[in-house]
Amino acid sequence: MKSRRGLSTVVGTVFAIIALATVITYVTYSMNTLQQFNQEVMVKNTELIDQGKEEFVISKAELANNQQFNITVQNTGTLPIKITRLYIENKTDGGAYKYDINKDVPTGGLATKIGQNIGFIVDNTRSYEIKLVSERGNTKEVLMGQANAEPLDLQLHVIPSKVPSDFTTTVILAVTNNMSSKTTLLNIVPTISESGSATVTKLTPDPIPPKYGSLASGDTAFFKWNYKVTGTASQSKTFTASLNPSFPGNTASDTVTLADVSFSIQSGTSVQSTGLTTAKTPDNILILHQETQDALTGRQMYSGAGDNAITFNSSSTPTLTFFTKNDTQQNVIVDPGKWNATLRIVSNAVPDGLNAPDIIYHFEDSGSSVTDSSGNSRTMTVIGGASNSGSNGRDSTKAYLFDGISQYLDGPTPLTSADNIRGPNDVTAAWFKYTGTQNSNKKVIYRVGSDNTDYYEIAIGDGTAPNAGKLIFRFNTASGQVPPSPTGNCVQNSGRVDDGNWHHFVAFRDGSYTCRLYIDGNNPTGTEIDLSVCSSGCGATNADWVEPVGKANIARNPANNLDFFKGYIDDFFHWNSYSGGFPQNKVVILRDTNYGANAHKFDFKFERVKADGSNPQNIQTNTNYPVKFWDGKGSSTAWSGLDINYTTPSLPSWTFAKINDVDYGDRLKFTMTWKSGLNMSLRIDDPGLTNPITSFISVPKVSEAFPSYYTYSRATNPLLSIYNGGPYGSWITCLTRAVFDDISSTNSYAGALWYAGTVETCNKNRPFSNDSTLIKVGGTAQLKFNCPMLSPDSFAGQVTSCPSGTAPPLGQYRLYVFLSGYDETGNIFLRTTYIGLVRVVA
Amino acid sequence: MGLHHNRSKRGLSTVVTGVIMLSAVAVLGTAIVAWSNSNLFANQQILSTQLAINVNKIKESVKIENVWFQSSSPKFVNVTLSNLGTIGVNVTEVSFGNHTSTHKTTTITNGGILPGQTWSYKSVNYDWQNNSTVKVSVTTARDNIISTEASP
Repeated sequence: MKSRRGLSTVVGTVFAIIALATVITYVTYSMNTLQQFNQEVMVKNTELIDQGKEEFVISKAELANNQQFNITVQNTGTLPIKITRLYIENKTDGGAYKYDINKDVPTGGLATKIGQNIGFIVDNTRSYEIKLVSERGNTKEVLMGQANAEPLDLQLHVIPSKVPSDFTTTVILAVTNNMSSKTTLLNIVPTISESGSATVTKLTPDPIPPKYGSLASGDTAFFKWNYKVTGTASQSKTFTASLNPSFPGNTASDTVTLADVSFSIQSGTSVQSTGLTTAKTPDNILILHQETQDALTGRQMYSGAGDNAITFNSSSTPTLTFFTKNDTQQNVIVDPGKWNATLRIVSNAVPDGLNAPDIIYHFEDSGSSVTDSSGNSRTMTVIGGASNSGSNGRDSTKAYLFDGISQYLDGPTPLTSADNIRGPNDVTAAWFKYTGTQNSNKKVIYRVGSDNTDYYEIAIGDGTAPNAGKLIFRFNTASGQVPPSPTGNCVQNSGRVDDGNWHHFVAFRDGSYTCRLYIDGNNPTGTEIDLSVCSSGCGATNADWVEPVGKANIARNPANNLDFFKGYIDDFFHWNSYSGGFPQNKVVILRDTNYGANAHKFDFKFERVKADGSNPQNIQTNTNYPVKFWDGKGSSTAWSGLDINYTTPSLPSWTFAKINDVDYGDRLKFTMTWKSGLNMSLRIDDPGLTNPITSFISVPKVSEAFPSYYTYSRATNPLLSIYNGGPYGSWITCLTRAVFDDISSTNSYAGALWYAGTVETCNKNRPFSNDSTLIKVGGTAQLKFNCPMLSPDSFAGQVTSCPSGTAPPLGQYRLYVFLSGYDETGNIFLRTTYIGLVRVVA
Repeated sequence: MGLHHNRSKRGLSTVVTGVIMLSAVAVLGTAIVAWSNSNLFANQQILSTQLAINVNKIKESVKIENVWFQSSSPKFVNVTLSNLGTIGVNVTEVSFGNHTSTHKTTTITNGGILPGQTWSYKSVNYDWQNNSTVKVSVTTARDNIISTEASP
């Protein structure tokens, strides 16, 4: 049989093939589609991976000199990057700016100067946020701003922290940007201030460097200042540094302290020279001296104690001028502030032309007694609790207020030639202000005599109505006369004086029985009053004597314990016998004399002049400057105390230039001229005035002392005084020297130490040297040197006077002293001090 | 001797039946194949379209590049977008809010960004607060949502 394949099989096969082909086609398409999708996903993934792998940092962000940002980007990843955009947002004022950059940065490479040449000018007082964007969309930001948003880490170091005088120290400020916000700081500018007693001079005006343009987060900037420090050992200077601008209170401080020179072991003892046999005063204190050498047309003033006292009176010497010496090694810079003159004066008791009074009461002292300022010791006792408190007297001075009931001043007994009246030519003067009720009662101002026989009296009223309120000057010479001569009155007839106002009187008994009475400078009664005619016994010896017994009183009648005065009495004078007459012009002069704050009027002037006195530049001038009255209380040497007599307004800083090639440095000139008021005596250059010291000028702090006027006689051995300021006692050794540096040649001369105090330290006849005795803290010693020589020989020149031919030539020298010694702790010191200019004389 | 072969005898009905079956099968088969092909083609189209949409959505790459806040009046927020991809992007919506709520949503009609370009939007009078985080969300026409957070 043959096999038979039906058609169905064929058809089925065909359909199967068709179906299969269709399925295969669809499946193939689907797989291709899926593969495409997968490819896209893989591409996207690759992009995302690349975006994640991209790494770059802003390695530098600063402000360039052209006030534009200068940003550097570093590619720290493994793919090249492209910086496409820069955003700048002003965080202070608002506003944002976008710039297209398009800078390629290869792997490991840098893109620099981003931000330059885009035209954006940075205001370095503002804060900014900078954002850089890459082509893959990654960003990096940096904040740039001011240093005042947060406190920064500031450290200040003074290196070295202990230096000898005239040495330099370095001040270093470290600023670390530790801002929590990771801000890059713009424009870091340091500031520094100094405080303390030592003197410092900047060697460079600006810090090194003057500023940092920018400081990245975590970085540290360093600034440096160099200072020269001068002063005495143990003085110090504290430096305080900050930034501008800075967070409030963000400062750092450190201190430099002056110490003596040391080798390997430092001694803290301060032994310093105080001057050429005279003590030095602080650098800003200029003592007025009487010497005129090298002081142009005036007298010397410098920081050296007085040594040759003299008194000037303004009546004979109305003008005094003082100069500082010229020449210094450095400029003398006076700080801003007030300048003062403290003058030791005694005011004249009365104006010129008036005789010296026998009794003076100014009523300025407190307590239970009233001083007699004439020096005749007619001290009165305060009775009843009368008080002079306040400034109720004439010229705002003190004056006693009497209550008109029981208060008065009781004079001493017995009466003396100062107040016993006797013959004519008695003068009494005073100021009074009656504050009681106006009536006709008598109110005694001054009375001598405790009974009604002989007395001398000035009072208001006499108990009679016609004389109510009038000033009456009465004296009685009846004692011993039979019958007694009547009392006479010298009466002020112009009007009442019990009106509550101040009035001045001068009562002048110009003859046996005559008198003149001046009220407020006037004599309304005209000529002298002829009191009365002596009725009997008029030819007897001393018939016209007023011979009171008892005592003198102010504000009471001692004869009856009545007639109390109510009110103030001030500036009382009494001449028991005035020769030469007391005309009205003297009355007016006395009336017009101010015994208060305006007793004297002076012109004061400070000037800066050249070495030869030319080119005066006014520092401060005050005309008719008031100087207050100083009561010598009868002593011509009771000099005033520390009251500053003249003070300028606050002045700016002044510089007195050092010696140069053209001239020899500036001088300070001080002139005082008496103009009006009382005359006075001025004491200057007095070494005996120590507390307070003799007359001086004080200026604000100075960078160094004004040059001095020291002289050295080359026929003698140089003598220097030294002072131990502590903290340890010290010894001086033989290595100490005095050096004279000739300013007009290249020669210098030095003298070796011979004596330290009473100890002969270096002696040619002894193989070893001696050390001085211990100079205790606060103690002084005098150093005696061998004669200065070109080749100093510690064994030569040990004679009481320097032989001629070996000593320095006459002229000007700079004197240095080199001190060598050691202290109680065993530490050594070596110290060189510049004394100043010294004139070598024969 | 020889055997007499019986000859097969096919009747006409067999032929006709075969022809009819062939015709029917051909017609039916052709119809089925045609239907199958058209069905397959339609599915291919759908697949292709879907592929394109998804691929474009994947290709779309937008980043919010910068956000800054203006404090002086009038207050506003400025958003800058960057098209990092290779195809254009059309921003349709920008919204501001925080983690819990949306404060302001704005429909954008001119948000086209070409490849490599940037586009900025300033939302005026949006009352942002100091020291408060603002969530910025940007929606594209392809329904991609890009978000970021910024604080004044």
